[in-house]
Amino acid sequence: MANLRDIRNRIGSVQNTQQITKAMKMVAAAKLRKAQDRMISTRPYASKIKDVVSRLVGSAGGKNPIMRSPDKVDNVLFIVIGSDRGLCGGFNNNLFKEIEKKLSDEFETHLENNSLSLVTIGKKATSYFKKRKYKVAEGFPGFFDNIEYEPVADIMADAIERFGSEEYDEVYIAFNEFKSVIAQTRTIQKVLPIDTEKMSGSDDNSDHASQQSIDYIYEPDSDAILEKLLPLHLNMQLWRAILESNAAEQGARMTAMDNATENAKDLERELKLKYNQARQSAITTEISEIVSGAQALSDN
Amino acid sequence: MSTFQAQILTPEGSLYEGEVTGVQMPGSEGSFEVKAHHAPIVSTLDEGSVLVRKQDGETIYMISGGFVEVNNNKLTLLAESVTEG
Repeated sequence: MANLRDIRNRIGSVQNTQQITKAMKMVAAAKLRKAQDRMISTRPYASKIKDVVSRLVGSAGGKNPIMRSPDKVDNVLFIVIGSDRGLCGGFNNNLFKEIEKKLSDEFETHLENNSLSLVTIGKKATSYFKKRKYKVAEGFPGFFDNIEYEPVADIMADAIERFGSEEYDEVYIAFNEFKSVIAQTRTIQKVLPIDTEKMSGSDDNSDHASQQSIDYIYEPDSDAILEKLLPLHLNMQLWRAILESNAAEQGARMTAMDNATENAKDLERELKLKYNQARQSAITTEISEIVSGAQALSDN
Repeated sequence: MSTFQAQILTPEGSLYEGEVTGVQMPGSEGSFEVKAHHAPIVSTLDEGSVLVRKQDGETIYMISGGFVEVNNNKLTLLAESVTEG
């Protein structure tokens, strides 16, 4: 039979764990709200850029290095967005597994030729892919402590430049998209080369058609504007991915910690039952010992 | 004096939104100012200062470059980094 004191100690540690997980859940909930606000506040900027880009992209000339469409794909870059901290359920692992599956399915030859590079954002992503001997061109651990636009734009600017100089022929972003507090969607998105047809055609809001007919003055000219605008648009996509991933991470952590708290509660209940049973049987033994002791005395 | 809607947007959110009488910007082809009822225009902007004239005063913003769109008496200025100053 389990020792009474052992059980009592275990109950204590389970209660402590429960307190920690509960606190982490609250922290994640608070951070989630902030992350969601940030996500929403980027929307007007993003939609305006997309609006103008989609208006211009159809009529663009082919001189722009960002607009090039490579015939064959020699070098590929994946920008992987994970998290810095653990204790968020399958948030990182599920995404990394999916990426690895995609890599081995579609980019097998690239893996063999060592022509597939990764840029990893977040400590978990960096250590995961480095440990598995992927070619990590650059890792950014500790990225989410303080999320700012500038370093994000720098990462994308670097990728755009390398794409322009034909160092990479395709660029993907892989991240957890925020669907709801309890659900994330693993998303692998191709950002370069730019799909001009999709860009100019996919805009389904109704006022777009009427805007197209407006005769804008373009200064200096539409190609020059596009050349300046496309990097901004791409920066925005990475920025959005980072913020989405950040919100999704907090959501995942909230769910994971909620489950952990529930499990700890169950365990505590079980242990308490065991403790009481052990206590009861200890008392029963003690009484019967006393009784038989007293009997032995009176028999004399 | 007639006014029009102006909005300054950054990736971090909206920095200014309201009625203005004029906005002076560092366009890539030279500094220019938009007043009410300006023709539709899309222009890129260089690094420099943006002067927003309101009926009760003016505000200066420093931008790192960006672009501006004016349409239907509504001005939208987008810049990656904007500081008030």
